[in-house]
Amino acid sequence: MSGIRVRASRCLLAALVMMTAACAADAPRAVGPPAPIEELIIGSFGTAQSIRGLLTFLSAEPLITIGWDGTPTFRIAESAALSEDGSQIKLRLRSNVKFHNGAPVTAETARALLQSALIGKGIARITADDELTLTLTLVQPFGFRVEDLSTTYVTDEKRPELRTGPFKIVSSDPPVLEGFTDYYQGPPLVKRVTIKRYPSQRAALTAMMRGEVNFLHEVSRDAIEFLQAGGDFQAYPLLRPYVIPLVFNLRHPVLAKRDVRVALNEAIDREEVVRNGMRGHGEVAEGPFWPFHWAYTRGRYPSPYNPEAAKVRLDAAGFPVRPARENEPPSRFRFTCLVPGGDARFERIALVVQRQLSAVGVDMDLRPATQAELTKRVKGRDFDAIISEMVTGRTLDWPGMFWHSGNGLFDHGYSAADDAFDRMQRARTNDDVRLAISDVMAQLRDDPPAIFLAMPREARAAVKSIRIPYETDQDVFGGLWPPQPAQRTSARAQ
Amino acid sequence: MRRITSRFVMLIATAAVAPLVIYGGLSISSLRSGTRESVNQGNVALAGQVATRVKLYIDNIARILRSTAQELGETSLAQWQQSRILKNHVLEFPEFHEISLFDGGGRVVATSRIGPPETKVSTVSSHATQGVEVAPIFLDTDGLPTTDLSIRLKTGTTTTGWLIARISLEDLWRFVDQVRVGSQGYALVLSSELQVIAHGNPAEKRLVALPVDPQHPLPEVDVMSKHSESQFAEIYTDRDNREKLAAVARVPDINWTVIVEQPTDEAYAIASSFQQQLVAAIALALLGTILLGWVWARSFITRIFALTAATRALAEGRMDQRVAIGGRDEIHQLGDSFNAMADRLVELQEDVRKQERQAMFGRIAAGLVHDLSHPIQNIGNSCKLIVKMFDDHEYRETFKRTVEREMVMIKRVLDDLRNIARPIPLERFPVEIQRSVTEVVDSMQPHAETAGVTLQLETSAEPAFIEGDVFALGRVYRNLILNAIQATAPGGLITVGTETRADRVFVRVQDTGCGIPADRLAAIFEDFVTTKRRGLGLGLAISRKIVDQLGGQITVTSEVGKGTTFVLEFPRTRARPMLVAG
Repeated sequence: MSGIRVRASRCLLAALVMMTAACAADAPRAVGPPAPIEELIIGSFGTAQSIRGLLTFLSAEPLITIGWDGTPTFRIAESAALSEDGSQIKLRLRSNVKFHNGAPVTAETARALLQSALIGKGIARITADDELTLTLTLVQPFGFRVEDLSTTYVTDEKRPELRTGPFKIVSSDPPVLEGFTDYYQGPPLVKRVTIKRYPSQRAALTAMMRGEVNFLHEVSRDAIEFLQAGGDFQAYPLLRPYVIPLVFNLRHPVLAKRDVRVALNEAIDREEVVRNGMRGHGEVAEGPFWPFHWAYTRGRYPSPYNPEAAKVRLDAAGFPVRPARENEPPSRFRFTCLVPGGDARFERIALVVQRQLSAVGVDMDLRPATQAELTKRVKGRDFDAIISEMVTGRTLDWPGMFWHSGNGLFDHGYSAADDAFDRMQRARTNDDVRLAISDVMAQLRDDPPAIFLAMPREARAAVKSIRIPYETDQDVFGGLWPPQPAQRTSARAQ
Repeated sequence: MRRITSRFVMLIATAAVAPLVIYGGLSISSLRSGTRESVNQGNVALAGQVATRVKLYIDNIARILRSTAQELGETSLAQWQQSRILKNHVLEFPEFHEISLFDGGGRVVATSRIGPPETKVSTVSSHATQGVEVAPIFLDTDGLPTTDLSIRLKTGTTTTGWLIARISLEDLWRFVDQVRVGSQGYALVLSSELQVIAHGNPAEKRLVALPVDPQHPLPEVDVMSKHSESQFAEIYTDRDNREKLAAVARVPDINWTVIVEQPTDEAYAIASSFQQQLVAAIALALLGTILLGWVWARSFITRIFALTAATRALAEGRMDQRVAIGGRDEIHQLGDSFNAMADRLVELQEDVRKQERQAMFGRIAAGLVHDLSHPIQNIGNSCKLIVKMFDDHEYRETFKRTVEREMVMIKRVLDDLRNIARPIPLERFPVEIQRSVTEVVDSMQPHAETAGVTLQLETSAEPAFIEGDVFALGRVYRNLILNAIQATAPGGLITVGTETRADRVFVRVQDTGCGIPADRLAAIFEDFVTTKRRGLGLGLAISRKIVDQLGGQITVTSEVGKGTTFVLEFPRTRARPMLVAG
């Protein structure tokens, strides 16, 4: 994925925003008109950055979003097409979109706002052809796709009035928004949004039980059933475009060995990770891709769980089980795995994985680490393995952002799939894309940089008095503003 | 008639209604108290079961913890082994959030946590169950209730360490959520510190996340404070002013309390329904009894009323009155007997009438014979003599007088006969009563002297006038006086008097004669009624007729052996005659 280099922090923010957008914006709507909501008080836990991401999601809007199957859905843009030679993308803006200050969105104003977001990130130049038409000239032919615009917001971070989303920011601290009555899709269902921050998911849940908030942005797996038993609350499970991997540092002397990593993959029963580690609230992960992407064939890459084969492989790789040493169990080898500290979601998963690895004679020592420490140690390559959560997104970009050696996001030393990722980036037809994905998956199987454990199923929650359209595993958050028929147009030749 | 109706009502009331009401009242009372007690006991039993389950839940966790402690203590394990055991237990038993092993000094030896444990050795007093100490419930960092279970590890009497587990109460919540009584009955669990640990009512689940507020305790707390038993039921009013039945059961050893609460209108709904059904049934039975009784009684009493009315009609002279009494019972027979009796009465009456007519005709004939035979005899005798003494002028005059006199007598008898059937022609003009009475008394003195009785007059000083016919009045007086003379033995007294009172004038004829028997007194003024052996018996009838036509009335009082008094009463008139008659 040469030529696409983004800064980690901005990418992370974009990931957060994109995650929410990808989850919500194109969720198919349930039938029946929902009732207007005077005020939505959202309980959210997480960092200040995640709160900012939520604010952006509510107040800003990208040119396009990505649907459940990874196809683009037009938002501010009403059409986008890649030229035959792959050197330009022509965008047509909707004529009825306004900024929160009332000014119409024109090609010229959009061009000015998109400069910093796109120039140098695969786009060489942006021109306004007429009142509503933009032409993006790519740095490299086919080096940028229409889907890549899903993280591009027509906004200026320093000027919150230049946003086009369904809600406009009244206050950033505390975060308060009001429904934008001139939103081009019609006034949102909710008139006012307030965001309250809590130190943990359970604390936010407790706040909702006390009546302090009426909507929870995230509900942990532990609390889903408890919430649903409490008759006043409704949990809305959603399958998030995330994967929980155990990522190896390929610079580790043992983990660098391919056979070891293959054996470790074979040692893990992902079904049990979901069943016991996640209490059933998740899906087995096949890899880093969104399994519902139109180009991905789900189920084609079953779990390689085979602990006996793992033992044999490890023996063959020269790692027999050694007797116990002081304070260490008998094992073939031992490595340390960092786990986000104090986060119950990962702790239990880590324990299950530890036990399964122990069963094949591998001792994984779990160490808690704060987010800052994790970031620091990842940057400094000072880790053996990490259990964390990574974005799959609904596009094909994210897997490459994490697993292409040139991504700059995660320096794990893996490069076996670089060629396949590059081919995927360059693919011109749908078949080319499918083939490239298949190649990537083959590489990830043959030389796994991680154990892709599971996809988390979290939930949002609301008090029952708030009626929101919902479909299973879809993000109910997108039901808070009026539904519009999704305009799905593939910008790629079939 | 009302009396028999009342009697029937009383009969039905005492025989059927009263027992039914008493029985119904007792039944309702028994049913009410019985079913309520049954509901109370049922809910208490449920609370007891829930408490047993809660205890079982804690005991189960305690058992696991004990076996873990045993596992850790029986063999000397390396720290990594201890850690692994604890981690496996946390994975195997989702009730545990974490389990940690501490040494005698309270330092962490091994833990299921990846990082440092949240639990620590505490000196806070706890309750113990199965050798495991249960710490007081507290709200964790997320604001949800939790507790720690601890096992003291000993070697001999020396404490060598602690095994402490922080347990998840979500399973308990799920279990409590499933406890339902009816559609509005829920269970809740309180800790010994009165913290809500679990609440099955969705609307009250938020209480689980709220700390205890001593200023505003839950109403359930008040219920608990009134009793010391381990299980009981109590009715209380919640914060929404709704009456609820609280069935309380204490969880032994750990001093938690399970309360199963249900609104009383639902808890006792079946009892109330039974009660209402019973009330309805009793009311229907009562109504049916009363209705049946009324229908039956009505049929019975109506026939009696009919008989009574017919009897009354018969007594009033409506001899054609009969009754139609349906049925086949004795009253029907009574009705038939009545009708037969009425028929017979009519026959008898007809016979009596015939006999009376015959008697009357006989009397009339006898009277006529008596009254007419004398004048006819006299005329006959005179006619015989005139043939012989026709030449005697004086005898011819005597003959003429005799014939004229006897013809007047005959005419009078015939007139009386004629007048009794029609109004007597009278001339009405003011008559001074005293004068007319005096004249008649004077004219009757010879008759009185002949009979040897004293006839005296007592008139009022004040003259009084009435509207009358002096001749008719004279006849009345003469008739009364003559009757008195005939009824009075020699030496007796007859007094004729007048009296004026307000606008009424009274004439009294009083004798000291033999008197008139009471049974004849009422009919004395009727036609052809007489106490004499001879005569038509029209005198008093005509007298009454004259008095009636003059606007007055005649009354009689008599006592056998003492005498009789006739009183004439006339309205006084202010009019004065142009020419005083009398």
